[in-house]
Amino acid sequence: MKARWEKLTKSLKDFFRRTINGAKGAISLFLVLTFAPLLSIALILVEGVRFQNAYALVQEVIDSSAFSTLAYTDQYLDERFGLLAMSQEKPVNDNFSKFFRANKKLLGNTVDIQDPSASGTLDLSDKAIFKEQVYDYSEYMVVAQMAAEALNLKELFDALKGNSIEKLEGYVESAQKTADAVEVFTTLTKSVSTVIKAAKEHEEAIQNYENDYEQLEDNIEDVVDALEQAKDNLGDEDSPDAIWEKSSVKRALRRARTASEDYRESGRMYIAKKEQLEREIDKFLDNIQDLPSSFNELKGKFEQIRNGSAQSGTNTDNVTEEQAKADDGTQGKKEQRAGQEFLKKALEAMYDVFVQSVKPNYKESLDQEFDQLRHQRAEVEKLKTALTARLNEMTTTDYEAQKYMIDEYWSRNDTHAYFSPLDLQTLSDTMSTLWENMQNTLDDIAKPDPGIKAFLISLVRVFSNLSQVGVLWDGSLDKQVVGSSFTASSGGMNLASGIGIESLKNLTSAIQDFANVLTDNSIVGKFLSLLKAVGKMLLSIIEFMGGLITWTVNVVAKLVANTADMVMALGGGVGNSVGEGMKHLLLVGYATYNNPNRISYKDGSTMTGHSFSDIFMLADGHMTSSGLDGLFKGFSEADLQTGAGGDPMFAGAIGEYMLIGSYGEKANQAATFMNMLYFRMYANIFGVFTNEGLQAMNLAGFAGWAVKLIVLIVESILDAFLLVNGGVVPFFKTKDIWCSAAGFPKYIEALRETEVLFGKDNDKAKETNEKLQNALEDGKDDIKKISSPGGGDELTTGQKVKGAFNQTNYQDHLFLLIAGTVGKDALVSRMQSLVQMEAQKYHKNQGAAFDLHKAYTHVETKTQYSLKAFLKFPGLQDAYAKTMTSYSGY
Amino acid sequence: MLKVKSREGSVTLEAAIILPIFIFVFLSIFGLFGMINARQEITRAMIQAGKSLSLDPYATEMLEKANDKKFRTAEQYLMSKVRQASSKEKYTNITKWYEGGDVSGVAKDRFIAYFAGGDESKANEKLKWMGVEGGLDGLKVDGSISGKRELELKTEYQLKFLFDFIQVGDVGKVKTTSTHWLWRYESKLHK
Repeated sequence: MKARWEKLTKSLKDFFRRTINGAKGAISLFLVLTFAPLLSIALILVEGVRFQNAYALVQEVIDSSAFSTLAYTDQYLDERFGLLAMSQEKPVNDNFSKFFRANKKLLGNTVDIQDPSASGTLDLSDKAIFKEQVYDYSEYMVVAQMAAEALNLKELFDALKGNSIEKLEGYVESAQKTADAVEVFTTLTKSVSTVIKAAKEHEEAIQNYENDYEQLEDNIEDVVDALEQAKDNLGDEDSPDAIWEKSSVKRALRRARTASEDYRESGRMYIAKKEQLEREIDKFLDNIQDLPSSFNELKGKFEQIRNGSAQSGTNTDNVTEEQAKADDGTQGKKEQRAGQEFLKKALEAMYDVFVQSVKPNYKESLDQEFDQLRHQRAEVEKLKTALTARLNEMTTTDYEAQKYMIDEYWSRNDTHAYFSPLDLQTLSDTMSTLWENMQNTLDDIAKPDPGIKAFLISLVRVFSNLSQVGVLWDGSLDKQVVGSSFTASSGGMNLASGIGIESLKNLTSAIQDFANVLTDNSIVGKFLSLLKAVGKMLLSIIEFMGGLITWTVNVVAKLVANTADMVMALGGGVGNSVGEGMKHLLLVGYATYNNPNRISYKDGSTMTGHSFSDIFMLADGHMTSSGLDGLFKGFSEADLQTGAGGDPMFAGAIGEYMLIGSYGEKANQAATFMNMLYFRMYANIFGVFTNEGLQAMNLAGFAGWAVKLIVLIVESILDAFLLVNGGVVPFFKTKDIWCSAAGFPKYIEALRETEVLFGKDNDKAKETNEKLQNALEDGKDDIKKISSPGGGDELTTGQKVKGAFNQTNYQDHLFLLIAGTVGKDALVSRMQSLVQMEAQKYHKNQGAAFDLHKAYTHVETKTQYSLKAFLKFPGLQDAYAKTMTSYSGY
Repeated sequence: MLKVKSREGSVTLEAAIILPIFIFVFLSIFGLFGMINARQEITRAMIQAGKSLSLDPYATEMLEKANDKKFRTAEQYLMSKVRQASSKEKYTNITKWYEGGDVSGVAKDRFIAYFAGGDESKANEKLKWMGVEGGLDGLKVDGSISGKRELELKTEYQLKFLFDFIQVGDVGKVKTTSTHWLWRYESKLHK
């Protein structure tokens, strides 16, 4: 080993001695040894940088080509919806390749690159992608739109929360209690009629009883006369009994027997009628027992009467006083008390008559009378038997009662002594008159205050006239929303709205009946008619208000909850980061302001500036694409054949579709109308219930109490009329309302200012104007009568929420309803369905196809390239080959 | 063959011969890569300018749409942003340059925006440093629109060698062309 090392060392020494020869050439060698690695490293670094630059340039060229490909947008989607997706006219790869080939030379000779492949990805059927695009587009537009509309949502939401639902619930609870009382009173009043009928029959039976007795008495006298005559005509040789063989005697006997039968029968009838009368009176008393607890004292009073221990002069006012103490002063309680006051008055009238016509201990007296009558009937039976025996020539020994043996000693006096009518005084024979008087008194009570009556009748009549102006309902839409359409075209409409429509119809009919009862003075038994009308109306009100409460709980509560995040977002202003609350706001705003509704479809435009009227022309087809989660899933051509959803889809009423989600254009409008009506009713509660004029009617009895309900409903319907015709209403009314002398002319004025009705000088507008003129002309006198006592000269409204909500339109209500009732996912599904439908129709007209699943928002490219190496080391070439996948999107 | 009798000075002589050669090789390599880098940087700026320009029609149309009185607030907001951008950074332009005529001016402005943040003097210095003959003035940027929507950007410049010790002059004229598709709105649906 050592020897070998020494040999190597020697060899090196010899080499250096020979080549360097001392210091000669040392520098070159040194530089070669040191610079070579340095230069190599530098070259590698430079190559790396070159590679990075080349990579960046390749990426730049591909991005640029992808960018140009993205520029082939679907123009319709962009213009109409503000959505960006690539056109489906050409394959994505074709467009991309065109630009890539044009820009490829920018890479020079740096790289070898194959033609990349490009395809679309992330389409608009993806909810997340769709939503993001909506957010992006709406970020400024929606807030700007809302700023233009000057909505102050926060203020509104606070007010909505303040308009407590307890008020409604208390009201309906009171209405329910009153309806229960009315139901009992209706039964009670019906039993008054039955008592009157029974009393009349009873009186008739008495008359018959007495008449039949008269007949019997006459016939017995005839028998006696015939016997005396026969006796006078007897020969000496004749037997005394021969008189019975005389034909005149036999005829008299037969007539007397018939009379006795009649008399006995009339006695029976008398008993029957008296029993019936007793039953009706008992029923009347039983009905009183069914009165609500608030009437306990009055009921006790009647029970005392029946038990024969009535003490007159009990102060019935105690009921009211106690109730007044129990009341917490809420509006509903006041309404309930007003109704009870009315019923109490009626009950007092009944009490007076009852005391006069039904004596104390009448039941015991009746029993005694019935015993006497039954005894008398038995005696008459014996008389009849005696008469029959005589006719059959039986011997007197066969007679059970010798005293009824008819002979020459019998006379009228005897007949009267045995069989004369009993003196039955337990129930007055003038009872029917007394009870008829009771009915008249009740009818008088039923007559409302003339002022209220005039107000109510006028109100109903004007409302009725206005509702005849068909265009108030259908606006200018081609598809009219009329009552029959509500149920006929309710495809996909939610059930609650359907019920609401039905209950509204019932209520309208009930109000009409109520008004008729008040109007028609010729009605006999007006009290009962009024009770029936009120009962029907109350039940309709309860049903309708029940629907309203359910709606309120579902919608207003949700609205407040759902929009809490929106309100917080609004607090931050436009510049706030797009948080969840703002996103919700943007989505709802987009649905509301980027789509036409039945008011705006003609003259409005989308947020993109696209004309609604163009959409109307475009959206006349049906969408049958499957695969979306939204509305049209499962909807087929077969459905069209059956007529379901057969309307031109959403012709102008897309905002309504966003709210309801039905594929029936009419159903969407009808359900939206109902929702809007409920919304108006909810918002009007405050104004109507606190209206000074209507407050004054509280004490005016039953009709006055009903007026307030009717006003609430009519006021809300008038609001809805105005809204669906493009008018504006104050969201909250604080002092005066349309249904007042000051308010109604302003309502007409507001109606005339609506764009939909009178905005255009065309035949439709002229026709509408004419109809409205006629309606107003017909109701001119009525309008003058619509003057609530507290109505001022000026309609001052909207003070509860200042600013923008003094003037809210259809679209504002639509915005709130969508925010409150439609979840984000459902809303996006509806939007996607709409986009599919409209875009498909548009492209079909252009001879192209459209599928939301192919509405790509990104380009995916795959590229293989290799850098041309500056340093061509063997085996290093693979290190320069790369595959790049890149994405570009909107 | 010259024989060196003495060892004195031989190292110095050797260094004097070898070192310049090494330094020349080094600088030549860096100069070459400097040229490549300059060309790539100019090309990238041109592509980005082209992409930006291709979006102008869309942005302008959107702003016009926002001019609707309904969207006054949005318009004000967006316009203020656009004006701010156009006055300071030249990344976009609210005029309808794409409707015809020579678009070279706006193309060059946009190039400067992406090349040097919109600062002409900075762009000039940078180009000179990179070896572009004449700096900004020596860079010709042409923009043209064909087929209504196809934007073509062309750059032409002389690139000189950075370390031109032996005065070889310009090493070559560089011409590049990039093609872009305008995001043109061409509203068919607007009335």
